[in-house]
Amino acid sequence: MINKLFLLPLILTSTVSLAEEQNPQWYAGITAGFNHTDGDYIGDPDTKYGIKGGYILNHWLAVESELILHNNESGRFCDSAEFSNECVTLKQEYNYGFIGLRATKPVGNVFAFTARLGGALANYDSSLTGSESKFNVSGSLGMLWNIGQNSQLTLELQQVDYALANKTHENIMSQNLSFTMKF
Amino acid sequence: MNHFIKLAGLLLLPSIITGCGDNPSTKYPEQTIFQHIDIIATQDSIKAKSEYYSNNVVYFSSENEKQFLTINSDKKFELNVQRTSSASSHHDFTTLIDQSQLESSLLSGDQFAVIFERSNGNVLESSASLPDFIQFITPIEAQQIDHSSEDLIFEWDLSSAKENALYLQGECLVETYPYDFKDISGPNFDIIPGQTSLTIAVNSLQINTWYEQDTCEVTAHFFNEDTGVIDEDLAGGTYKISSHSTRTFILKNLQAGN
Repeated sequence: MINKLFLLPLILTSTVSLAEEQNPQWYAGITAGFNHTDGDYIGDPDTKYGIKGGYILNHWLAVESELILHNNESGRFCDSAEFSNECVTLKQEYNYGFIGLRATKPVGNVFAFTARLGGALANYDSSLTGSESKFNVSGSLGMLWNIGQNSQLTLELQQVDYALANKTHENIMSQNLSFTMKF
Repeated sequence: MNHFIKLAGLLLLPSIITGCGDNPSTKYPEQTIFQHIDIIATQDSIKAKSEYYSNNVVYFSSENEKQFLTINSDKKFELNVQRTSSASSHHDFTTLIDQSQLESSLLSGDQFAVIFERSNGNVLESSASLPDFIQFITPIEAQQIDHSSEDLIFEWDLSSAKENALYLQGECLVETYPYDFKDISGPNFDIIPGQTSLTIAVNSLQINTWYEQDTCEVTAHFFNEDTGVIDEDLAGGTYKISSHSTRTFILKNLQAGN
């Protein structure tokens, strides 16, 4: 699954190259974030990190792709000592690939509001319940800071829906900080 | 400055959005939950409990999660579920099913399935077969026995496949604290595999000193226990099922021996 996700940015850039217009502006960067989930005992991941890239269509719209890995989580679940000392270990891996559009509304020369909407192919893999994938709408909202002529920091809230095992799902909200450079 | 205020608002937003989640217990995968079932059945009643553990007791506060007991896939009874952390005793969540609910007598070999319906739509089924009911040969029902001058002899028709016990309960007998689900407060006597009789030597039963009557009704209890199978999608657990047989008799001439 991870290998397929890595192909997403390549597919995107190849597709967009075919429709290349004048003065194309590419950008790429790194991103990291903190997840905000329900805080239960299952052990949802706390942090995420990944790479992103995009193609600027015009002064307010871009096509963007992103590949994110969450930190792996594991939890040990034991029977009541009244009955036995038997335990099971649940190891979990979360990752996703995103593709969609990013809109930017400049506010002055330095800052801009930014939002992203598209689809995320989210994959959840568990040692006990197996692997589940789900392609669903994903969005984000935040602010962008032009720290240089070709470098930007973006702080935003992001939402990705994961299909967990046993027909449950996890709608993970996260705060992301991204650094990107145009080229 | 205005933009920084908006940024600060963004930072607080996820806490507001994610602060109202489902009850976490309902999100446990079945594969991390251990189930423990204890069922005791007479021919016309059932006492059952089914509990779930995952590190600590999983308290299913969601009303969407229910469990049922089915007999031969025909009769269906809802079992109590532990839904609160204020539990002081496991017995609080025991379900009692009486003769009027059963409508017909239970037989050895009846299939007892505990069905757990989760809020995610998954259904788990742990099943067991009701073991044989042992039949007491002696004493006969309502027999009067002078324990001050004769042994108390119990005989039954089926040997126990594993270590077991015969329990006695009566107002005149010295009580012991009932530690297990059988909840019998009288003395008990060990039974080894293959054993089909028990002799309690003359005048050896302890009678309460405050008991002033000359006769006392005593009930002998025998639990023929077997094990069932926990649904393989759960992490594990135990399923104990017992056929409960009783025989009531009268101890007489009590004041002579004590």
